[in-house]
Amino acid sequence: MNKKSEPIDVDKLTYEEAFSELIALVEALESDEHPLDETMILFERGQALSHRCSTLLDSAELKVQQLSGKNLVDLDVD
Amino acid sequence: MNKGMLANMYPPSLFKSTISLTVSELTRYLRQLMESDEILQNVWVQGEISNLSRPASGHIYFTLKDSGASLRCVVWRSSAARLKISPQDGMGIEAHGNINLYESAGQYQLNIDTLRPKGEGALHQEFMRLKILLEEEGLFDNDRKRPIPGSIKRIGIVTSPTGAALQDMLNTLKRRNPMLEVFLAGTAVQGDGAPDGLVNAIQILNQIVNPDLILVARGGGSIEDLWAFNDERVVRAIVASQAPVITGIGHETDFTLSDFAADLRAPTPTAAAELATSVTMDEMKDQLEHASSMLESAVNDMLGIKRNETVDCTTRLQYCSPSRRIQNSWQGLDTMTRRMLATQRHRLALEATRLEGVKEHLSSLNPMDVLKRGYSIVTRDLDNGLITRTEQVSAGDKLSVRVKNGTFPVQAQSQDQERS
Repeated sequence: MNKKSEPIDVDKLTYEEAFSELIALVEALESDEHPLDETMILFERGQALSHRCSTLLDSAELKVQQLSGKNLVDLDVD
Repeated sequence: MNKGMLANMYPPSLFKSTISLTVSELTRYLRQLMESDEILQNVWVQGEISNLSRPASGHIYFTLKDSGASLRCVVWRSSAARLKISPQDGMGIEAHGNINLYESAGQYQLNIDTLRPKGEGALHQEFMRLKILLEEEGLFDNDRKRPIPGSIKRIGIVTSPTGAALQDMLNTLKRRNPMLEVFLAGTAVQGDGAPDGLVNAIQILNQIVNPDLILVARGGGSIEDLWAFNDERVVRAIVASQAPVITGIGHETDFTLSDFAADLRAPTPTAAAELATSVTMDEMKDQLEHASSMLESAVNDMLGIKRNETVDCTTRLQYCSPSRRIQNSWQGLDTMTRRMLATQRHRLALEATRLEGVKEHLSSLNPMDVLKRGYSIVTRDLDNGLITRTEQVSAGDKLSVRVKNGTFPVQAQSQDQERS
């Protein structure tokens, strides 16, 4: 996690991005190298990331696209 | 050898005579001839089935023929049960068995133990030739194969868009990890166009989609149905694929050259989809739960540490606080005061003692005490000076003599009397 740059809006992260940031954040918190107010910000972001991941998992629906020539066309599966 | 056998049965003298063989004798001779021939006892024959009959006995009878000849065939019941294909009139087959003679009809026939579709033998040979060739080139080497990524996001599928295999795979993927993005590159999987279609599908998936993984799959079928997957071009396309490839072609027992070239071979399309989703969504949920609880405990631990540090620092702070210093100062002051008073008292006592001594000393020096012992003190009246030497006194000086109980006046006489 880069402290300097403004963190990306959690709702824009993919599952993988959110999950790997969550892991990095836990490790950062465990290393205990941050000022207290910063760790509270980290913790709040961690909770948001965790929530984002849960939401993505719960709402996941297999997305299937078919290659038509060199174009991708959505395919309805059921 | 056969001639020898016959010669044993019929001595030469008789054989040369005009005595003829019975039909049975000749037929038995022919039968023995056939049954002792290695080629005829272990032979593959190909042709087209006609006049097929399946009587209630369970044996199967038919004629195998080509444009120039025909051959009576029989499949005995015990072998019939084990046939992999069911023979039909008009079907082109390859049959394996041994030739013998049905003596009562005077007909030789093929006793069949194995049937396979016509051309399969040639296909198998071609398969083996190509397999050895590609194997020598290293295309099937294990150290060339890439690991299958554990966590994937984008998966490509190369299969028939209308086949059951596709539905099986999609159902499996949906069940195990619905977060996946699936990219289908549909192609014919059998027939003349299939190899080119498969190659194109693999290439275009890599070019356009760049997936984490590609499944190349087809449901079960005959060896001819699966033949496209033994095509050298398809094998090379799998090897060249940037994304790792899992094959799921046919059934458990089917092995194609594509399977050998794939980074991982699954026995069926469904199994391929399962191997592709080694990390299922349930596992991801577990991981997430674990990470979330780690987050909580990391913060709680950290807060606990900070709290302890705070308590510790507060204690130390209080130790350094001004009030404590004031207390200390008070205490110091009291101590000093106490010491000062004690010192003072001591000093006073000391002085008192000294004073007493001096007083005693002083009293011992009281001249009056000397007078008590009979001494006297003489002073000149003129200046009240103490007379201690003769020279101090001149004749006529008025003096006072002090004795124990008072003073009386005297007058000095001539000194000469005294000095002599």
